[in-house]
Amino acid sequence: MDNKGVIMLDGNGDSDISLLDILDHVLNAGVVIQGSLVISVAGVDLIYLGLSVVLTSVETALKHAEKPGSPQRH
Amino acid sequence: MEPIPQEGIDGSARVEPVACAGFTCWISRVSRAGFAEKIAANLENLDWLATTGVRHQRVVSELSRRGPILPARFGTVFHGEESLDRDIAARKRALHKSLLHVSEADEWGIKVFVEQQPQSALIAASSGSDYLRRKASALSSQTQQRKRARSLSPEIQKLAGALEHIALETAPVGKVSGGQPGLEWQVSILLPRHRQEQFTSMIERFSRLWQGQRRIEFTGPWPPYSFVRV
Repeated sequence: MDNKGVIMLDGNGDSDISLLDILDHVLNAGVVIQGSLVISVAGVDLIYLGLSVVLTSVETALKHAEKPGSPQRH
Repeated sequence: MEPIPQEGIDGSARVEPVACAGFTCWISRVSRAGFAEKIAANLENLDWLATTGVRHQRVVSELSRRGPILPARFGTVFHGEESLDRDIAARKRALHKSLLHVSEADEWGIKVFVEQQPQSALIAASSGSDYLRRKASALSSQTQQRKRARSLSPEIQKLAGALEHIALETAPVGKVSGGQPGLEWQVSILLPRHRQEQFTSMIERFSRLWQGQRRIEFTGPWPPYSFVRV
């Protein structure tokens, strides 16, 4: 691989090496609708999932994956 | 409006345009019990995250070919078109401003690795979660600690400065990939399209300068995921 390492993604850019990059960018921000809202609150029009939930989950999942003998699926 | 062939976020729904307060919102309709209510639990499932994240990226990427787009945050679900329309109408001005800001510009991700050991080959994986698990097993907590403790080296500061000069905006990135072995620094930039050649030349210049010490990888063009904070 040359020093540039350019990965130009087309609409189907899902080569192995870019999955981490895809999640990096897709999960980074995006239009924030409101703050984190709990799904079960009555009268709420929008279900919104705080980004911190996603990031904690990914972090947790990756940490669990490191431990030997840990379950393969959550 | 021309439909798009990509599958919706749940793997089966169509992706369709909906007129909202002067904007076109692209949505896919999902089931409440089958999809929406399972999202919180699914976020802990790497297979789901990998598959669904890639679907999201494919749709947003296809749509971004047609014109400026503001990607909604991954996992955003509205109860119905009415509440979507209400929300968009309420933020019309801010959304217009944001759309102008990202017009004719793309997001690019830049990563700098120290050349300690040979770069790992393409990781063969049987599934999205398998890939992520293999990456996780390569994480070095020592590297992460070192990264946190260290302030930016003068060389990285030079690159950071050059990127800030050429880009409209920069944003931190790396919440998923931040633990990669050898990763010294990374950033996302919003780059005007007409400066793309200037950008690649600049990266080549730094690559040559750092030959043997560091390796630069950059990915793009991305839709402006990191630059639509409205």
